[in-house]
Order: sequence, then C-alpha cells, then structure tokens
Amino acid sequence: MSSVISTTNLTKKFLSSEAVHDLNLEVPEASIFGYLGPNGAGKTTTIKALMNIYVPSSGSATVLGLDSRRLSPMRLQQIGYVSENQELPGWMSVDYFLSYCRAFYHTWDAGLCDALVKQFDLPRKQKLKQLSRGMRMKAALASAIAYRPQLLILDEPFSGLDPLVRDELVEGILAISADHRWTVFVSSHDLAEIENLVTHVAYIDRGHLQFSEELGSLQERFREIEVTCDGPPQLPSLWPDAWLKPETSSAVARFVVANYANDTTPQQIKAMFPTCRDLSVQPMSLRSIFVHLAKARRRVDSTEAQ
Amino acid sequence: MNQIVHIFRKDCRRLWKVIFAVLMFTVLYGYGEVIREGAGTYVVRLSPYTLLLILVGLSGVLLPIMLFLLVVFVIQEESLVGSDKFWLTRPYDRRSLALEKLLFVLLWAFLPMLLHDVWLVRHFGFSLSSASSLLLWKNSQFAFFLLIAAAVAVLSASFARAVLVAIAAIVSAVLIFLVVLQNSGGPPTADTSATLAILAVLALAAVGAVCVIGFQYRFRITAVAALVGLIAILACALLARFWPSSLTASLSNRYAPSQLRAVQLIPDASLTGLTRPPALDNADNQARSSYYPFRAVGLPSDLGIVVYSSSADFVSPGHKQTIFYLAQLVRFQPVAASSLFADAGSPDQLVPFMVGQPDDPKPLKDTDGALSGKLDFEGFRSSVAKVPVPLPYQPQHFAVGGRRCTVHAGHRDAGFILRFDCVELEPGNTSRMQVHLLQSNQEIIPQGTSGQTSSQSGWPAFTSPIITTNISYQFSPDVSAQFLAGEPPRDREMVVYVEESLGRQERPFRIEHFRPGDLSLEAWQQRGVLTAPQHHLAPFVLPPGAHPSLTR
Repeated sequence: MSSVISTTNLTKKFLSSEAVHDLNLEVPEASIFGYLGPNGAGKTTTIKALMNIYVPSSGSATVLGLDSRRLSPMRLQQIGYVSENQELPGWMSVDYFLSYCRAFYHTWDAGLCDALVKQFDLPRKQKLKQLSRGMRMKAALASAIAYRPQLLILDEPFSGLDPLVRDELVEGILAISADHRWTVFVSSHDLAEIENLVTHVAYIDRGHLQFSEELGSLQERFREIEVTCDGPPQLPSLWPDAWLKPETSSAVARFVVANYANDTTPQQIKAMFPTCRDLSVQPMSLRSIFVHLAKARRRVDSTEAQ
Repeated sequence: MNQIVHIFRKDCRRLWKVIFAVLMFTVLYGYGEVIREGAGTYVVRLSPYTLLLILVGLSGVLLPIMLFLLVVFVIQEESLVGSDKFWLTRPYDRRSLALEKLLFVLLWAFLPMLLHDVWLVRHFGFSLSSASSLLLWKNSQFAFFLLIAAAVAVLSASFARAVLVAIAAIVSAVLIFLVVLQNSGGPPTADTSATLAILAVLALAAVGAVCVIGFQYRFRITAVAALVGLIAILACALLARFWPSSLTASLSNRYAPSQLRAVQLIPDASLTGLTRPPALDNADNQARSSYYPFRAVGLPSDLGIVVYSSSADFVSPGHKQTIFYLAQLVRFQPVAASSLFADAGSPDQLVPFMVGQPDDPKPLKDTDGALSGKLDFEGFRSSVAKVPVPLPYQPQHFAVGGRRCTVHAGHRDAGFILRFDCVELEPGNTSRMQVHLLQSNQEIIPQGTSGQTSSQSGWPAFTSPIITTNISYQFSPDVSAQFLAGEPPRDREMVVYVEESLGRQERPFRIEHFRPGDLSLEAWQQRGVLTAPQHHLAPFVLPPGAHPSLTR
C-alpha cells in the first residue's frame, strides 16, 4: 500500500522553539488516519507544513507524491482541507460560498454538493457568519468534499462541536470514505469520536512522534495491568521502558504495558511480582491509552524539573 | 483568465459599498472643483444643498481615505498575512490573484480618477493635448500613492493593522532619513534640484513598493517582505543623501525652457541709466551692501527674470575669504517691452551684495579683490490681456496666459473691488498676477494692485488636475472715485498681467577689482549712472499677439 502522505525528518521551528522535531510519518492510501496529541503537541503545525502554509525548517514532506513546498493549484484540487481555525468568508451565503468554490475545481460534483448540503441540513441562503460553529464546519466540509479530493485533511474538526453534530460529521466522513476510498487525515483530541472513525493512528507529543500504526495493532499492544498482592506490592528495581510507571495502593499495583504480547508478557509480570496472587489484564480504549501516555509524560516532566 | 474574472466578480460583490463611496467622492470632488471656481457664495441656512456642500468640502479628505481603503480591502480579501486564511488551501493561482487585484484597482480607483481628470480638463476649456503631460505626471503620482497603499496592504491582515503598518513605515522612514541625512545639511532645499532629487527618491520608493508587493505575492514571507520595504526606505535615504548636485545642474539645464537657457547675466561696470533700486529695509544691511551693475542678455520680449539668491566668495590678497549674499531681489526685463509687464523695468540693474552677518564689513572697505560665485534666478513669462470691466452681477470671462478667468466687480467701503476666479492646470505656475485700471486708455497710478501669487506648487495634488484661485483686488477710494467718474460703465477697461514661472536656473559670474568701499548705492548715485524709478504714463497699447481672449 503506497503512502499518500510521507514525511522525512520533518522539523519546524519558530524562533527558538521547535514545534515539530524529526517527524517521520507514513499515511497509507485509503486509510482514515488519526493524528493525535495534546494541545501544543505540533499537530496543526504538521498539517500546515503538509499544506505548504508553513515552510519546514528542515526535512521534507510529500503529499500525493509531491513535495509539499511545491504544492500547485492543480494539486490542491485533489486535496480537501478543513480546519477549526480556518477563516471562512463570513459575508458569503452558503449557496454563494459553494458556488464560489466550485469555479476553482474541475472535478466539482454538483450532485454530491447538493447531497451534502441536504445531509448536513445547511441553510442555503444564510450567511456563513450567521451560522453556528458546527454549521460552519459542515459548510467547510461540504466545500472540501464536493470535488471528490483524493486526500481529505481535517484539523481538529470536532473541536467545540456538540455531540450530535460530531456524530453527524463522523458518519458523513465514514460514509464518504467507504464509498470513495479516499484517504482521510484527521487530527483531534476528541478520542472517543476518533476511535470509531480511524483505521490508523499516530501520537505526537511536544513535537516528537511517539508511535504511528494501525489502530488494531495499537489496541493489541496496549494493556492495562492490575496486580493484586498480599501486602504492599514491591516494585522491581529494573522497570521496562515500555511499561508506564505504576500507581500503587495498599495491595494493588496498576500500570500500562505498551508492548503487550499474550504469550510472554504475563510470565514477565509474574516474574517481576513473585509475591502477588492476582493478575488482571484489560484491553484499553484509545482515550485510555491517550490519557495514560499524557500522564506518563507529565510525570517525566515533573521529575526532570525537580 | 477565468479565475481572474471569478475573483474580480467576488471582490466587486464584496466591496460594492467602498466602490460606491470612491465613485461618489470622486464625483463630489470634481463637482467641488467646478463650484470652487465661483467661490464666494456662502450658504448659511441648513438645506440639502448645504449638506451637499459639506460633503463636497469633505471629499478632499475622504476621497484619498476611501481610495486607501479600497486598495487595502481588496488585497486583504485574500490576505497574504496569516496562516488561517481560507484561500491558502484552495487552488488559487497566485499570479492570477495579483493580476485580479491590479485589474480591480485599475478599474475602480485609477479609471474613475482619470475620467474625473479628463472631464475637469475639458470642462474648464483646456485641451487634452496641452494637459497630456500633466495627466501623465499626476497619474504617476496617483499610481505611487496606490502602490504605497498596496505595499502596506500586503504586509497586514486587517485594516487596523494596515494603519499600524503605515504608521510604522512613516516612523521608520523619518528615523532612517534623519539618521542618514544628519550630517549632510538636511534634505535639498526647495528648488529645482530638490524637485529632481525628490522625484528620484519617489521613483526609487515606487520600485521598492513594487518589490515588496511582488515578493509577497510570489513567496508570501511577510518578515522578509517587510525587510525589503525597510531596505527600500534606506536606499531612498541614501539616494537623497548622495544625490549628485552636478547631475541636478545638468538635468535642470537640459530640461529648462530654451528661452531661459539663452539668458546670461554679465557684470559690467560701464553700464549707465540704471534705475535706482529701493533702499534696503535695514540700515545696517544697507551699510554692509555693495552694488554692481549686471546686464541680462538674451531676454525675449515677454521674458523677465528675478534673481532671488546668490552665493559668492570675495577673495583679496591679505584678507581671509569672505562670503557675500544677495541683499535684495532684482528683476530684469527686456528693453522696449514695457506694455507687456505690469512694472517698468530694464535688462540693466544694480545687484546688491551683502557681507555675511558675522563679518565686519569695515576691513573690506579699501580692499580690492575678486568676487565670484553664482546667481540663482527664476524666469517668468509675462502675458497681458485688456478686458472690459464687468458691470455688477454680470461677470466677465476671459483667458490670459493659459488661465481661464472670470472677473466680478463690486464695491466695499467706497472702494472698487474686482474678484478674479481663475483656473489653470496643475501644478500651476503663476508667480504674479496684477491688474491696472485704464482711464482714457492710460493706466491709473498708483494701481493699488500688488502682484499676487495664485499658485507655485511644484507638487500637484493627485486628486485634481486643476488649480482654482480666487484673487480679490480692492482699490483705494481715491482711485475708485477717479475711475468710476471716468468713462461710462460699459466702456471701462482694465489690463490684467500674469507672470508665469518658467523654472529656475543659476549662472556663474566673476568680478575682478571688486572694491566694496567704492560700490555703495550712494557711490553709484554720485557717479551719475542712476535714474529715478519710472511709471507707465504713456497710453496703453496692447502688444502684438496679446489680444484679449474672451471666453464663454
């Protein structure tokens, strides 16, 4: 499977601060790729570098096989982009906005556009600035989908939307992706929605890519472990790097294993906690993985700060 | 092309209110120029017409603001600053975008102003061919204004920020010019050389603005584009600082009217029959002044010159070098052309030189040395028209020296009043305008009409190709009574003189054996070479080719 987006050591600096550091990312064709990370992790910067809004400080990115810095108007006809921060021309009505966009795309599908307007229940005559945030996002999405782009890039599309609108958007994206086998690259920290949407996931924190893989394999390797002992659990002195730091209570130790393997990890845990009697292994939701990774990062930071 | 038209239509739809305001204020400004010709009517009561006049009055300020707004708004529709702009991720062709903005500005800012100019020129009876160079120059200025507005717009994301960028640019320019010109004695003074240097600086500034705009549309890196702008300002300051005066002299000589180029000023101690110049206002200055006769050679019959400044070094063995300045303006006029000029004159005149203030003139009294330097003069062409004096409420129209005038007559405090409303093409070059009343075809002395300047601006406003001037002359009760008791009202006549500036020149001179002690005004008087000032008393004869041109 070829990559629709590929970055090689992509780095973006703003003065002295580094928003993205040596990013190597591959987004397979026809995937729905979730790009996750806490606020300020570098998600939007990455996307703006992909869209040639920012020029990378070093490294490179290719989008649809072309260097992002050479994205031409012709190539932008194959990319749909929607961002929570995008400034839409608020003085335009929905109808005028869509007809204005239409002239820029040879592949504009008027039928699909009408269907999207109906599906999203967009008020055609109303000005964009009079619409709610969710409706504006829908209008932007309709304008980014109606020309059947090969790649759809969504930057925090669910931010600030109510659950109903979020569900509608997710359903819309899923339906389109399933019908047309488009590649969707979506950044978000709305993990519950992303989990239902994505096939692949990448996690970036402070500009550093933590992992990038298929959602299934991620959920396979992350497990939440609970070890129950007779007394206070004795933590081994040598703690594996792939195991997140544990939380302990009177007789229980809880921690997350990031490289769980059915055949080896339980034995490894028992060897490390020889006096313990119970071992509970639970699969994790994407949200739970995200929260644990974020907490672990915060703990590392506070330790380093001390 | 399709994309250009598509974005253009969108911009027109978006900015129709600003477009309407620009068109409205352009029309109002033109209307203001037309009614200004007959200024003097004051409307006191509140009426729709009063409101219209208020708007017309404001149009001079609001039109440039609206034009600035139009340029800034249309460029910021697809702002080049910021990373969240909608159009950045859409398939806009950057070149088409820039061309669309150019088309928009040409159609809604440049073309209306050009039509406004052409209409005004035609309305006031000037020919387009005579105004073509003016229109070219004026529209170049207008284009410069639009370029600066566009450069500000491409560096900002909103109108408020555009204003801030404009203020920052002005402050930067002032600071940079202050620093660069600090030790150069300041910018060139207001003469021809200054005009040429300023033109060169403005041309460079326009190139800088084009570079900023081009760079932003090509690369969209605001910080670098702003740096390009600062470099352009610095280059302008350096050009002003190191502008070669030799180039100025060469250019001003090359482009001066041929009549002026032919004029020479020759010192000649053997001249006689010189008109005694008026004494200087200050006795101390009079004591420090030395006079020397000069002859102006090569003056055509309608051309005079005014020597307005001089800088000369006096060198004498055993004395330190001393600087002499011109003590008084000196007018030279051709022989036998008195009826073309309002005042009597001659090509031979005494030129007063005054020792610079810090120097004590006494040690120079008995010295004999050489005075050399240059004389700066302004040439003027005199035109004359004999015009019937209008009856009250029956204005008289006439043309003189390229001006179109309307004259009204009236009375105030037993004095006879003439009010002239004249229009001429920008930048205007009337250096003086005088009126003489005729009594039995003789000019009444004193006329009571000192010359008045209607316009001398070297920088025409880019908003209008026309200068309108309103000049009033009130004659003394004696002259008024004498005049009004003369011919029947319908036979009364006057002579209108207009002097048009032809530009400035400088001429070198050298006087050997310059002895300040022997060159006082009284010394020349004692030599018997001076005559009393003359006045016109002979019957007035209209010079050939100066027939009154009555209009409308």
